[in-house]
Amino acid sequence: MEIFNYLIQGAMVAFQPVNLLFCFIGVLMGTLVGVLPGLGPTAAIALLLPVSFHIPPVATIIMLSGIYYGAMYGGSTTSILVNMPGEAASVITCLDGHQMAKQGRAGPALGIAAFGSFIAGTLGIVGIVLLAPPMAQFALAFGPPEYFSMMLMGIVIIIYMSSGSILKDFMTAVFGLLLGTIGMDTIAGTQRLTFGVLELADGVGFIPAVMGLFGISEILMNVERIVATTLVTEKVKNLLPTLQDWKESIKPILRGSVLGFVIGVLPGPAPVIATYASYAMEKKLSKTPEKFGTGFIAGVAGPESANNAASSGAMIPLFTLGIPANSVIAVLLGAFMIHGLQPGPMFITKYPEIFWGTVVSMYLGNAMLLVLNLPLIPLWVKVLKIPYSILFPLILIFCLIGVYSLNFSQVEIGLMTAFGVLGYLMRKFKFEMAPLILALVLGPMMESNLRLSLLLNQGDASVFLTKPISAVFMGISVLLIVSNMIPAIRNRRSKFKEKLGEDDV
Amino acid sequence: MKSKYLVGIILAFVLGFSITAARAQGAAYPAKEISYIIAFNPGGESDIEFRAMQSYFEKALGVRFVPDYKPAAGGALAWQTLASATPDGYTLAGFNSPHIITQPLTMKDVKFQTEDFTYLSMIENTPSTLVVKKGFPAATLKEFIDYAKKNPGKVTIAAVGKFSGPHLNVLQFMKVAGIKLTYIPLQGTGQVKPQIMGGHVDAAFTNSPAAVEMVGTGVTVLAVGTEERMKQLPGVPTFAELGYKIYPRIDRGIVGPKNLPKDIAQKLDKAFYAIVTNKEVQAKLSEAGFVPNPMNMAQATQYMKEQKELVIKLLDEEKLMQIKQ
Amino acid sequence: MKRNDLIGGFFFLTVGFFFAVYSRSVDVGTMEEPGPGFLPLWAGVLLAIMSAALLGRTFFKKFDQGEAFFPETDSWKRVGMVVASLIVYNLLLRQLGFILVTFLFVAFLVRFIFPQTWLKTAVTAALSTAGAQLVFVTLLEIQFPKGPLGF
Repeated sequence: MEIFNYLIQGAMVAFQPVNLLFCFIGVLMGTLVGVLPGLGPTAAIALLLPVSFHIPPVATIIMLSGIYYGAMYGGSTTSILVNMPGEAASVITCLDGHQMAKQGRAGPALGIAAFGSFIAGTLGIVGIVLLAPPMAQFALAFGPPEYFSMMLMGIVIIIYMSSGSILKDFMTAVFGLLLGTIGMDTIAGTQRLTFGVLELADGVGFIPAVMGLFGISEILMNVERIVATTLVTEKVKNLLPTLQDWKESIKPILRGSVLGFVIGVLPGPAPVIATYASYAMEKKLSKTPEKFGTGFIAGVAGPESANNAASSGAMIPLFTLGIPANSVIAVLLGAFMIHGLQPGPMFITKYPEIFWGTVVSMYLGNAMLLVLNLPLIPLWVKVLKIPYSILFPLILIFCLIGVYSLNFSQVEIGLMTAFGVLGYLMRKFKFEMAPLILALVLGPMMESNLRLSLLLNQGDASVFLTKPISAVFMGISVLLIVSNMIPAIRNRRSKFKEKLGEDDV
Repeated sequence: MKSKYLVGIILAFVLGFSITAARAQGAAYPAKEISYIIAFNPGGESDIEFRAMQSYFEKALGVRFVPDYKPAAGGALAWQTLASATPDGYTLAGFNSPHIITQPLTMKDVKFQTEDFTYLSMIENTPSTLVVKKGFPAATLKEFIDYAKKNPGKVTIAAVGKFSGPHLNVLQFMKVAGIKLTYIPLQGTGQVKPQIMGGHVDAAFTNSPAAVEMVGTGVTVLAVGTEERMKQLPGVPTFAELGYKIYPRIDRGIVGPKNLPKDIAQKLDKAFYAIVTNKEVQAKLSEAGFVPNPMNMAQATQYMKEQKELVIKLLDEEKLMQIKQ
Repeated sequence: MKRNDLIGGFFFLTVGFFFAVYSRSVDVGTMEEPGPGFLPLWAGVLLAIMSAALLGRTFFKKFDQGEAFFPETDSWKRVGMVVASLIVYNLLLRQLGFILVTFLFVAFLVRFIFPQTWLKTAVTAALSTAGAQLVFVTLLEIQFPKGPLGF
């Protein structure tokens, strides 16, 4: 097929020494930046963008893609090691990944994250090759009602992640939704709860919130006891995933890749939703759902693969529609335009060598990440051996600097501290934080899509059920809720019957 | 005993860093790098514009121009920061009009006024276009206006932001054409494109580079807000030639804090004007989809004054001003 | 545990109430044109209802002693000190400059939370400050506030 022709063309472009070099630089910078909490890929890209003007466009795109993947992987590293997500998509990895690290299994966690991402990347390429044009059309069919319903389903999925009380989890989610309303309302332009602080006009920053809720609260929890001297007291067992680990992970990786890719094609915060969805799916399909949250490797393998696959999927709307899925890809878009390349439906046919060159080099980037990071795993594991008395101030400093470096805002440092205390209290009172994060991220978009849907349809709320795609998501949400309540109702009924039986006697 | 170490290390730091922190005092301007605040994300149009000119800036003034990205509140944070910066010529910013005019008038917590700046230069403008979705029952501007008159409030039109430049453009259009449309505020061109391409909104006001990208996808570009037809959009008439004397667009330029010392302002004025009138630079900007519109400091200041009056008039009529002038 | 749910329930009840009341002061809007108060109102009400449900359910649970809030007698001191140091860092950042504040911050935490020797304290503080300076300022070219001594 001509596709192979293209791939070979692409490979020839990707393997040119110049491009290889920049791929490496991108991946390296990306990983470094991703590991530093707070700094995200946007910072790395902003730094390297000037360089990009003096190198050919293909090399630029390759380097920027490398940064993107590198940063994602770096973010997973901190999630696993110190329970601090580098970005939204890494939050889920904290749940089981950090538990694994505490049990001395940081190596396998990091390893499976790397391998899973690599496999997902491979499958993602296949997906792009086969599906680019039809998926682009699919993405366009999503209007405000479809997005709202999809995000609603995303929140309902929280039920399946719950290891405790569903009611309490939903409460934190609604709380997150409310927190998300802080800031300027994009539709009406009014300020809500900003107390005259302009920094809050864009809402509670995601990074300060996450770093506070996860990173700082974690430290506060740990500081309570004098007992532990290092973070990991168990002996580090293996540095790489064992055969057993692979057995438990392979299906989640495959499922995560497919799920992630499909979600990634939709313009929007796809990687985040993909990770939550994958986690929920794996928990639902697993024979041992209670193991999730205690350090179960499937809880890392699935979401990490979904994350990477979603990023591959996100390339489709970028190239075919010129629509960036998030701010990082927006920078990629900017890079195109600076070099005079117009993304759009014609892109693939007009610039095949750039498109396929990028696709192949994305793959290369994935491979390089694997090669680069595997040898680093023993090093990362050593970090956990540093006495906590010294380690935790270091983590705090990185948090503080990381947050400050985003916007040079002391307001955000304060926010992070406040979220730290909030997270600490929530953990003490046994309220989950992951639903809050998901709601905080999705909330503003859910709200604007809800209002846009109503605005576009003259207040007719039935549109959520009359539009086919939207109806599907609504239906799934209802199904999820009902199917989860049935066992609970059955339980109550049998307990009730038991009670009646007792009273008779 | 042990505390000696502590004191010793602190002293070492103080000494070491005081030495490295010594700076040249009182040298001629510019003596060190200039910080250029960009009010939006890297990769966006403001960034692209800066990058196209960066090397020219640096050559003309002999120092590095360091971009400082401050995206938040649609640019308000960046301009607020600039307004309170020391007017020593080492902090400048790119600005957008009418954003820098509408924000102090419509946003409650904004702590700057449009007059808090020295307008050093105008660079270019990005014209807006009116686009309709595939299958919309109108193929020309006239048909669109007729349809809208027959269905007041039913036609939905999307653009970026509320009380933003694009929003004002839409309001102006509605006024001049005498029609009532339902305005759908969206967040960024990245949202406008899929909504119009997917047919979820009837029409949209979007900037010309985006319109160019969408050619061939089924949407129709009805008119463009330039003085003359754009060669990147063949066959698309201007609003003016169809009888509607409006030029919807976003203007971009460079500002410094107010009360810049006269000699520094003049130096920057001369340098910038030479750059924005430079044919090479203009070619680069055109390639990226902008329309060069060079003005020096005097012209820019006058232009912004006039723009402000226009904006106030428009907002007043629509009763949109939140803050009394 | 009963105490957890009681306190949590009351907290969220208050939050839900607050948002619902606040939403009246920003326009709630109509179904055709939902305003900025639309979601805060409904979500606030929802949260309040859920909190009430939680509280109701908790009243029927048996009271159990459960774990103490702070696992050790001086836990609160350490937690409090860490939080305080974060706040102080933020307040002093502009006054004293990045380098000095970072140094003092690390030194304080190393010495007073899980006390180490002065030597370890000084070395850790110095190295971490230097490291942060190197990575963030030199390598990544991020500007940090300079203190009164010029650094």
